[in-house]
Amino acid sequence: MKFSKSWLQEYIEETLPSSEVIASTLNKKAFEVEEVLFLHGDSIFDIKVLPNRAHDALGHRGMARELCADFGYTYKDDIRTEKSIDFYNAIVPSPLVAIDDTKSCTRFMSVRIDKVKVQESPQWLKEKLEAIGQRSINNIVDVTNYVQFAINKPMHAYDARSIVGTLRARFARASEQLVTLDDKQLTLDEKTLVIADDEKVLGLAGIKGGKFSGVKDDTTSVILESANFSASLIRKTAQKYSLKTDASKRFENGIANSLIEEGLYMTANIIKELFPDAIISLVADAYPKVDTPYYVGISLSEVNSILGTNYTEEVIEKTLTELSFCFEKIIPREYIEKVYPTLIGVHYKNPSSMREDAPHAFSCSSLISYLYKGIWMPSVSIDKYVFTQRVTKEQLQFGDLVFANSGEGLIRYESIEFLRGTKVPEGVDHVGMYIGNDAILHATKVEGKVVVQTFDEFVKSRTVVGYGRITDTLDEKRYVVTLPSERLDIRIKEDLAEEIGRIIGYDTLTPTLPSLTRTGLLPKRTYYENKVREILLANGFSEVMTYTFGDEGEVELVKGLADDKEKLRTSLRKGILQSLSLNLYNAPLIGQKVIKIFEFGSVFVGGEERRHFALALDDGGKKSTFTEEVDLLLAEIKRTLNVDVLDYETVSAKPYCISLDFDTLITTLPEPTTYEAPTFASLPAVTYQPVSPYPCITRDIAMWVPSGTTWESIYALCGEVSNPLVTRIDCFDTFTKTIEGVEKTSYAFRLVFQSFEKTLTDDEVNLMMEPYYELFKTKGYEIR
Amino acid sequence: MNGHAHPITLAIARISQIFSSMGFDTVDGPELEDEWHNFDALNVPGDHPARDMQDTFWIQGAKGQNKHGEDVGYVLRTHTSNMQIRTMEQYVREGRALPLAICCPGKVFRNEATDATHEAQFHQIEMLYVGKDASLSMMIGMIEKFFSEFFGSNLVVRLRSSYFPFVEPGNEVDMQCFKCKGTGLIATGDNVATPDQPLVGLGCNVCKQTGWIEIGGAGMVHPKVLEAGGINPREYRGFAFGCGIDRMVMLKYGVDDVRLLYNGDLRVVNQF
Repeated sequence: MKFSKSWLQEYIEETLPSSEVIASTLNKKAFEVEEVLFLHGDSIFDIKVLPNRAHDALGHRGMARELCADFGYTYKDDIRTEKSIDFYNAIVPSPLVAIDDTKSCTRFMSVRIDKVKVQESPQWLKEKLEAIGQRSINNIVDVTNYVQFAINKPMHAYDARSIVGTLRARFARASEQLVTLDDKQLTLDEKTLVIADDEKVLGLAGIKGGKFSGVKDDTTSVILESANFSASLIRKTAQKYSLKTDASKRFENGIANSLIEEGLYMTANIIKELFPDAIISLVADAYPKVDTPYYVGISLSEVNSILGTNYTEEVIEKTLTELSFCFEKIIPREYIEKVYPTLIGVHYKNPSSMREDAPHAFSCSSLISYLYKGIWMPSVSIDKYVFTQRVTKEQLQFGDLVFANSGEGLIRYESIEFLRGTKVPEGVDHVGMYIGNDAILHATKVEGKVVVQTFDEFVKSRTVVGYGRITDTLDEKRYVVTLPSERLDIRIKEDLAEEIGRIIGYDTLTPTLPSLTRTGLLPKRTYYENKVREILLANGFSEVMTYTFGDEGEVELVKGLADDKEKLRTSLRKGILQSLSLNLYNAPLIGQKVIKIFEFGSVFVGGEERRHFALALDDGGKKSTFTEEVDLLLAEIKRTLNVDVLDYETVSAKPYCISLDFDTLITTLPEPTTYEAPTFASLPAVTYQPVSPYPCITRDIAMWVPSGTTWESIYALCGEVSNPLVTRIDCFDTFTKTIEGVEKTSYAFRLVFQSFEKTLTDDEVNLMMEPYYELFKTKGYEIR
Repeated sequence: MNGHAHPITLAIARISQIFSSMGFDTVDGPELEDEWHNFDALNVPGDHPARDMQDTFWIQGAKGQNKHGEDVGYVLRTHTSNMQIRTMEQYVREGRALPLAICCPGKVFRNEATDATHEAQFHQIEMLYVGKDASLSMMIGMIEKFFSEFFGSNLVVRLRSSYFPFVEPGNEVDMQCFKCKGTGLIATGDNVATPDQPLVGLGCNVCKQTGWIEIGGAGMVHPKVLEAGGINPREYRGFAFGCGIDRMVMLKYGVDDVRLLYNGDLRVVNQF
């Protein structure tokens, strides 16, 4: 998303530093800044906000809060997000809103504003939107867009004339029709959440509005919609209709219900600023399940063990303050001791949610979670059993948990959410807390409330299954943070550790190493592959890697890169033979007469993924045979691996290619017990020379030179011509003979010409040969 | 004349050697992976926007069940992180003592248009450590040691805050440029830096004159990921790191096109 520096500045007391400093700081501490542009005296940052921060930072306000944390600046609130006196006017009728399914729509607010006029936006509004690449449409639509990019809350405005009855978030009826604002005709299905009035569908909830009900040129009365929807539902729906919008992007990541009111008030307040005579109705708010604050706690030692640091309490507290996180310091033992007496007698309710029902009602399990404020634990009793450290009855301390099976009702035998599926054969359906002196605190159905009982009383109606300890550090102080509502990304202590670590700066971490005394081993397959590789390399074979994709195979991709790459190979054969012919074609450039290659790779055959091995060799000649060479090589592999059978078919005609199932070959071999570095484990000290995509041209020279003239000297002589297009010079034949009493040596060699820019012609190469002939002539060498 | 091992093989052999000396086993695993090991167990549920962060090759008509008996589809693994889960599961199954310390080199796949720096198939190296003493500082130490050994020069790394669903905290990792030693400049002639005079030279082409190279992703293993592997996050922590092997080879040797590594061309292989 694009952010304007001047817009960000509106939320910050101190003057922001240079754009460079902002970009480099954000890069380190929070987000990747992909681009900085300078536009009409403003800086525009294109910042990549990943899904974890899409809840808060896809708006200027959230990004400004981040900058405040990064730089230790003071955040300046925008009071336009608050309910003002203007919202208490009952002259204009308030819209009616309803939610059919509270899981798919968690809050729905609306307000009507009369006496507005649709016209061009004021300059400031146009500039703001245009700076971040948005097109100005009209004042009303622009205000809703402005709010979206200011506080990350997508908004929608309807022409009040087009709404009949109640605004309702409901699922579409099969085949219901909708024409979107951009003229797309959609046929909806029953899993599509829409906003509708009594007569018709008005828009795709959280994705796009409908054409019919949108703001028109002659609109004088608007109805604002501010709602929140299920993130996964919006994501699925946007995918289904191929409609990705700025709104759907925000909803599919999830936003806080607190933004619903802020967005509504802000939009209405700005419209009122534009039209001081406008009249705002009372606000409609359907909010079936009101959010309560979320607490996450962490101790100093937890921060330091996760990060590997020695931060002090002062540093942690300063950092939490910079993050604008409200926190309290809690010593769990003291907190539990102080709070539990106040809960005795509180109503028992099951199921019961800690966030919604506490402290007015508890289940056995939510009572425990509530008392351990700021220490994360799973919610269900059996999960708490799996989560905790087992202790014996004799070891029981204050705060330990007592798990029981009451023998009736829903008894769990395996964990639900935590370490899901862990078996607990004794069965668990109840948990209490040991509070010392033979006393257990628990919320119980039997008594219908929270009680303190003796052990004997506790076991009267249930069997104790085991005891568990939440923490060994009940006396260590914890920072329990009340999270800003938008920060849906912070839910566990590790999230807090990250916040603290990144704001202090990861450059303060001192690298350490684990103290492992063992030597790491190779997997069996790699271990034996390396043995075979060593044999092949010693025999002049080079290794290739080819593509897994092809046009033949049993396993098919839903969508491949191309029509001929939609299937997974069943054998290495095709790939290695293609490589063989490529390399035969390039043989002069490679300087090898016989091309020998091999490959190890996974293939997908017979419903299984198998590791295959293949080798191939050829010299491009018609008569050559390699049967014996291949047989000897495979015999050596068989001998080295010490396998009884090496199942392959002797090849006696071209192409000389062997392909076999390596996994089968090594089945009976033992697991390696020591690490052996393969001979090729050291990385060669070479610099890669690029290869040309154009074909080469070769020229062979044979000449007589005085006996004793070395090949090296001739090679050096060729270098004097210094033609950069000569890619290689290979001597392929040499012999010495006495001619007319003089001993002479014959050298036959090949010059390979290749350009990086074009295909060379014979004429061009012939010309390039001239300097060589000249040079050899002056040396008195006799070209044969 | 001896043949030449593929540069990716050379790199993997060297990587395993480095990790072996630090007590880390090398493990291998499937390229065709179920959705659970590739995504869900790594804290990337089906309806989560994080799934869009990787372009995935899905397998036509392939259906199976995960260990919880839920239906899952199959993919070509998009990262070697699937081996985090598989190795933890194996440790739990076999009752092996922690710490768990592994590296996993292997082939991975992304459904994206190919060019000189993007291939639909490439190789990654994954590092995973799970123990009671795992920390972000230890992770940095391991990564620095690894790159220093691989690039043959003492290198420091820096973390940038980022997001991968399977780690928390999550980081992008930058490595000091091994060519210009973080200066962004390559000295020309006998030009050396003095206290009074900064280095004058050509801009380093490896790190585009920034002194740093973006090299991988890392972080502390998310508690949910430990759980998916069967390890209780109340007792243990982990750190993980992943990066592209092709990229390491291309950086170290100046290979300019990743596709050259997979077309079976000996003009490339035989240089190594």
